[in-house]
Order: sequence, then structure tokens, then C-alpha cells
Amino acid sequence: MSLTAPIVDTETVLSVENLSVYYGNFLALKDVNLSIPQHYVTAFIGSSGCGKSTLLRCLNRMNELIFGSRVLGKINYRGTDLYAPTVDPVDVRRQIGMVFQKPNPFPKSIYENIAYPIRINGYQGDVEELVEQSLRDAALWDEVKDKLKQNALSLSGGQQQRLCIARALAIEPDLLLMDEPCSALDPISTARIEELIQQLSQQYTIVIVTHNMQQASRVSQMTAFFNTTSDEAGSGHGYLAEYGSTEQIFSDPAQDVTRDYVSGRVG
Amino acid sequence: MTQIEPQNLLQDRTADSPQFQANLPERYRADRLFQAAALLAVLIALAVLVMLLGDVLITGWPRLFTDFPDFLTSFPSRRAAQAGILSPLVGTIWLLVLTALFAIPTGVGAGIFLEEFAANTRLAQLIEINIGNLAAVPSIIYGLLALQVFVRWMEPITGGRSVLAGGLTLALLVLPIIIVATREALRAVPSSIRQAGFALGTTRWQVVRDHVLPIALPGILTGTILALSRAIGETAPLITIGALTFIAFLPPLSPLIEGLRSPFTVLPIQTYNWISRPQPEFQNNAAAAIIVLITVLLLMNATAIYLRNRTQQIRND
Repeated sequence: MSLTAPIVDTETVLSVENLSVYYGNFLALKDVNLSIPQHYVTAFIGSSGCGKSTLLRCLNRMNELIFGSRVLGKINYRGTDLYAPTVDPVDVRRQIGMVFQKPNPFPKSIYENIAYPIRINGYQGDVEELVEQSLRDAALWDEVKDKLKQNALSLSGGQQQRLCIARALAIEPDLLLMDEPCSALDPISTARIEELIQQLSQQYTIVIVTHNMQQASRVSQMTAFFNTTSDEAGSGHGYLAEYGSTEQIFSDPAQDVTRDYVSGRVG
Repeated sequence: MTQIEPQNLLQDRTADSPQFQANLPERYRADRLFQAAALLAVLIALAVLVMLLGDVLITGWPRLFTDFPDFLTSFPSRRAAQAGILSPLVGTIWLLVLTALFAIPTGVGAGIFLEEFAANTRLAQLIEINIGNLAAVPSIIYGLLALQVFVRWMEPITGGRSVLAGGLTLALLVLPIIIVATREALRAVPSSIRQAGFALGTTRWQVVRDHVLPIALPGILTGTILALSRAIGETAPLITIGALTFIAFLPPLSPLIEGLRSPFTVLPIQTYNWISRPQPEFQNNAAAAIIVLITVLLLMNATAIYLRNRTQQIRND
């Protein structure tokens, strides 16, 4: 299988080498090789069950919380093997933040949602200031500045998701992982989040899983297309079919499966 | 109950289609039949409860309020008119406090460990099944175990048939219930909350302490209170370990160790003792004691319901 090597003129934050993921005996994802360039938005696309969310969760070791999951291969994060026994997953997740499919604010005040990770990670500066800054970064400050004491669950779905982004940004992560962050939102909220992702990409490196191809083409510079093999028993495993610049993947993909998928002719 | 008559607007069309026999009147008849059966079941349960309570109230009310609160503040006596429930009431409170003290930290701790920390191994599954089974073991079995362990083996500490041994026995009895209730309350906390915590670089204990426990706490409290209300109604295991039926003194609060090692009695045992006597005056005493016991139980259950409603309110906010 020939993968188009991405021509990237930037530092690599994270590189995945021969990564396979099992859930019990089930092979979910096989032999993935790819690298995430700094200050880029990298999109993972592909049909359901092809392992793109699984890969995303491996990048900050969240997959370990799923019972029975096993990771083979290597993930290199700025020169460190992420899965080395000396590496503490808590530390990894502090550096590599994550935003989930469904907004999951803590059932506490808006202020406390942001202040919590700041305090827990031992921030030495002015907590209040950093809360405000994080909310500004997530384009939420103007909407919530008068009701910081209110329960976060009183916000709309789109606001809650931006609150979750602000919460992830509050501890200044090196890399931000987003697992279908707009799939539970209406088109207007989605547009706001996409706009936000574009702004954030100036400062942050972002990896986003999405089912929405227009979204991938709008927000990302790099795209990885995942596909599933199906054997006769019907239990195929996911693999990385093609990885390249978003422009190339959408206009001139090297493989037919990619072309069929991005043009909407799946099958 | 209003019954909407089915208007078969599409009768003409369905009549044309022999493969579908909707037969609505027949199905609505089945509906009404089931409704009536369910209502009957509710009425039977209610009638039994009302009869039971009514009987107890009629028999016990006058005794309870003759020279109120003498009945609550007198020791048991051979003369029914002078007999009160001071020592069993105080004994019940002692046991309640001791049981809570032993069972809540252990039970809630075990529940948290099993649900949040233990890996899902075969051993954990075995433990889970066994705890489920323990919750269903007849209470007299706990009494037999406690008689050997707390009364005989641990006599140098418990002082034998003492309040302390009773508290330990009831703690043992409600422990599985508290563990199961704790686990259920923890399981009801959405896993997205835990993931949110972990993704921010928090440790497992921080996630549990700061996010999971606060959400689960009212549920845990509700389960715990219900478990304790079961404990204060228990008679069999306490008879087994030798709770007395006639106590004319209270366990001293100071020195505490002496109080803990005092013999004791509780409301259900006193009631049992009185009810087995032939004189009608003692029957009245028993009914009055039952009223007191039921009042304590109702208060505890009301607290549990209040806590549960408050959680739902927080979740709906």
C-alpha cells in the first residue's frame, strides 16, 4: 500500500509508528503510520467503525480507560515514547487535551468548570485572569461574563461545547484532540466552533475526528482517511488508507476508495 | 379515567385489506382489563397497610398519650401501666449510631473501590456476585455468625452480649446493601464526566473525589438511610446474640467504653416481649411501641425521599 507521504515544512509534534489497537481479541485498527505536524489542523475522516476515534484516544492514552484495550506499536511525542513505562498517563493528558463528541461540562458553575483544571494542575498565577483568558480564547466570554456563577448545564449545547474547549485550553495543552466536536450541535453552533478551530490553529496543534467531509475540508490542512477491510466473517479491521494534505485528499486522492468516500460515492 | 372510543376512520380502507385485522375493540378491552387488575393489586396492598396501621393506632394511641411523654421516658416494668420504652428506645438509637459508624465508611469505601478502582477481573466479578448474594442472606444467619465472632471470640473487646456486639452485627447485615446502593449510585454517574476529568490531567482519586462522588452522594445517602431503616427493624439477629428483654438502666455515655459494653434491648425486641404476654395492657404497650418505631422509620424514609428529590432537582437545573 503506498501512502502519499505528506510534505510538511514544520516540526512534528507526534508520530505514530506501526500502531495496532485491540479490544480483547478484536483488532480495531492495524498498522497505522502517520505524523501530526505542529500548528496544523489534522482531520481524521472515514466511515463509522474504521478506528479513527480509537486512534485519537490512543494519542493521549484515554483508550487505556476502556477495559480490555491493548496498544501495539509506538507513538512518539516530541522524542518521548508515549507508552514507555516511565511515562505517566496523567501527565500525558495534561499536555494533550481532549474535547469529546457530546459536550460534557461538570455540573458545577461556569467559572468552576474552567478553574478546576487550572487549580488541579498547580497554576501559580492569577486563576481568575486565566479563566477569563480561556473563555475569551474559546469565544465564549462575552456570552457568559455576567453569569459565571450559573450552572454550566444551563448553557446551550453549542455554548457547552465551547466551554469544554475553553476548559481544555485553560491548562495550555501542547496538542488538542477533538472527537467529532460538532456532531451533537446545530449548524449555527457548528459554524461557530469551526471558526473557533481556525482561530485556535494559529496557536495550537489540533487533531479533529469528523464525519462531516465539508468540515474536514473547511478546517483542516492535513487529512487522514481511514477505511475498513472486511473479511468473510464480516469482522474487518480499520486501517489508514491515505494521508496527505487536505487539498490533495479532496481534489486528487491517490486511491479509489478515498475518491469514492470524499465524493460521497461510498460502497 | 376517560376512555377514548376508537373512531375507525379508515374502516373502509382496512376493510379492503384482509391481511390486517386491526381488531381495535378487542385490544382496548384487554387494556381495560389489565388496568382493572393492576388497580386491584394496588388496592389490596393499600388495604392491608391501612388495616395494620389502623389496628396499631387504635390500640396504641391512648397508651402512648396517657401522661405523655411518660411512656417514652419510663423503663420497662412488671406493671403495664408504668412500663415505658426508655431503654429500648435509647438502645435503638445506640445501635443506629454504631451501625452507621461501622457500616457507612466500610460499605461506601468498598463500593467506591469496586466500582471506580478495581479492574474488571474474574475475581472482581466473583466478589460482585457474592455481595449480591450476601444482601439476600436471612438475617438470622448473620446473628449466628455474630454470636460466634462478636460475642464469643471478641468478648474481651465487646464485652459479650453488648451494644457494641449488636452494632457490629447490624453493620454486617446492612453492609452488602450499602455496597450495592453505593455502586448503583456511582454507576448512574455518566462516564462522560469521568472522561472529562481524566482528559484534563487529573488522577483517578481526584476524578472520584471532585466529580463522581458529589454527583453520586445523594444516591448513596438514600441507599444508606434505607439500609439503616432495615437495621432498626431487625429482631432475629439481635435475639440470637442475646439482646435482653428487660433492661432497667441506660448504657452510660461516660466512660464510653463501659457504655459500649453494656447489655441492651431495642424496640422490636421489647415489642415482641410485650406482645407475647397475655394481659391486654401489655398488648396496648406493644402497639404504642410499634407507633414509635414506625414514626422513626417514616422520618428516616422521608429524609431519604427528600434527598432523592433534591438530586433530581439539581440534575434538572
